[in-house]
Amino acid sequence: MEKKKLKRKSRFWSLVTSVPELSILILLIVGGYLVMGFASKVQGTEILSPTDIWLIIVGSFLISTAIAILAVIGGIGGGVIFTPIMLGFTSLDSLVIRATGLVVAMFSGLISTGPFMRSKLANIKVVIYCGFPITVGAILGSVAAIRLHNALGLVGDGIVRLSLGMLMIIIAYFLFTGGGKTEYPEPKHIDAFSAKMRLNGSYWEESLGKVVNYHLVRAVPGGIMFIFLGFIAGFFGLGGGAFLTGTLNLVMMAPVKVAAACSGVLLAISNATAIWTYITYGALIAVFAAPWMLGQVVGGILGAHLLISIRASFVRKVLIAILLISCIKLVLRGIEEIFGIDIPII
Amino acid sequence: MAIIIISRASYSHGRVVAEKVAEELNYKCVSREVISLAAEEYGVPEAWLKDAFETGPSILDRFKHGKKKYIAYVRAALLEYAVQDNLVYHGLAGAFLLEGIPNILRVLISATMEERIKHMMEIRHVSEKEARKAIERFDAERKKWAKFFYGKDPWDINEYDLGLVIGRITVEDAIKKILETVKMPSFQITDEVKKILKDEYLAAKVKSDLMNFYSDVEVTADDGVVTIHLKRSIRQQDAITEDIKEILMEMPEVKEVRVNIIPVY
Repeated sequence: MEKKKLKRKSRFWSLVTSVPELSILILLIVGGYLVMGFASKVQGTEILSPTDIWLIIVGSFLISTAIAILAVIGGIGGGVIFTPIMLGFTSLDSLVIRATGLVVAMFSGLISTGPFMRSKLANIKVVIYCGFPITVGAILGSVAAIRLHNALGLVGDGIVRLSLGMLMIIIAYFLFTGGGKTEYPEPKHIDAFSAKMRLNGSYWEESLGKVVNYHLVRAVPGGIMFIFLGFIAGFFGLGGGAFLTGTLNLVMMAPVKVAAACSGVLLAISNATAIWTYITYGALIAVFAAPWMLGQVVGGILGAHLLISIRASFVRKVLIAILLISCIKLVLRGIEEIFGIDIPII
Repeated sequence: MAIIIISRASYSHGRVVAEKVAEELNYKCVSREVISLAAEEYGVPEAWLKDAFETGPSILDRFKHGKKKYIAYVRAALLEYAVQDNLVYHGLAGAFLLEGIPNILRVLISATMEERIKHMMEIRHVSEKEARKAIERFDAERKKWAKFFYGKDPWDINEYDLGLVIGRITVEDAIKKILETVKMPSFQITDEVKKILKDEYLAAKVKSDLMNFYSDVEVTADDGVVTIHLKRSIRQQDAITEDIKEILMEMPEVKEVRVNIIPVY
């Protein structure tokens, strides 16, 4: 047992050195903060002292790390936890939260992109095909979010909270039931469009000791669904990785591992696109977003390599319970903001 | 060349039947011995293992996997006996422990309530009321146990090849019936079944070892090639694969380890 613990510890350090791009990123961010600190660039405001700001930065990093660890173990994207909690329980501007949520979700997907692409589990053809509709949807969603915010102000935020609360109930149900996934779906018929798009591939399945060949089907309905999912991601600042995986697995009949790997990459693509609309609007505050991003990277690595014996189903149940509490809060706050009433619950 | 698994209700004379059948066939007869072997091999007190089989699941058991682990240990021990062939096992969970393995004769021995009460009163020197209450409690606990761990009713005759009710037939008739049935070709341990038993034994051993680290693990084996099935995040695949290979490195029977991570989403 002792030997095992030591082995796990050394694996963590070897991991830090084996992912140089992320290690450099972490160093740059930490360095950036240190420079800011030494140069006294973090100035207090009327309501926040420099100490408060540093506390927010460090606290955000720690919470983000914890969310990322839980998210990786539970097989859930970080954004799906971050955005509802922050929108439900804090009074921060909803656009700032959603922009930061996109950063969280983007980095949640980004850290797995490299390994998935290298292992050929993520199919580049599938990613490119699904990447177009999801990108279009993400841009539309983020533009719609800004327009709604400008047009309706607080009532618009209320609509966002209420609709997100209701959407989260569906997401929580989907996560709870597992979406009825199939490990190796076998399509009976490959439609002409999917065949033309050549949405096929193969990967080495170690557990079977053989290469698994697959061909995705229903490219058209799948593409339409990706526009919708991209819109949801851009509008609410969520990743929605579970929905992406579900669409690839259940609608387009990708093997579950391929679906999970592709969804990680697609998550990064769609969120990276949507975030630009928020950046141009000024809704992304770097000082606030960076520790969340850093936390996702660190937590993502820790979650992937430590605590591997913790049951995903258990962690998922905990996360689903958190999501359901957030749902209630979101719905109540949404009603409060839309109708201008006060509901004295939590 | 057969394996007979006798699932018996408490105070149903099942033990006597099992011992007589084993004697007639000159087979090994085991019950508590399986628990003792599991306790010895996995370093767990016998009482804990026994408790895992005798009491139904508590609310806590729905969250932790202690009992499931102990059941896995006992299953591995029972399979260790089973691979040696010519075996009579008696105990309630036998049919479930060797579920899915063909050509094993699964017998359910029960008795009429009157017979069971009478038998308990004789052995335990308790009143009729106490005996009835205790038997009803045992039955309910066992039903709860089987429903929780296997999703099945232990008193459902469809789970068995032969059902005998002492009281309606005598102990001698029950023994005769089992001896007749076990001669049928459907219950002969062929080379094919021997291979299945060997694979199942290896899988059970590996599962027992891994359950200390991965409580929800499922294992299959085929000629020394062991496949581990786990529902985890796909991002943990490499770390889990490495970890499991390290744990199983010291098992000489394992020729190859394959890890199947079933992604959660």
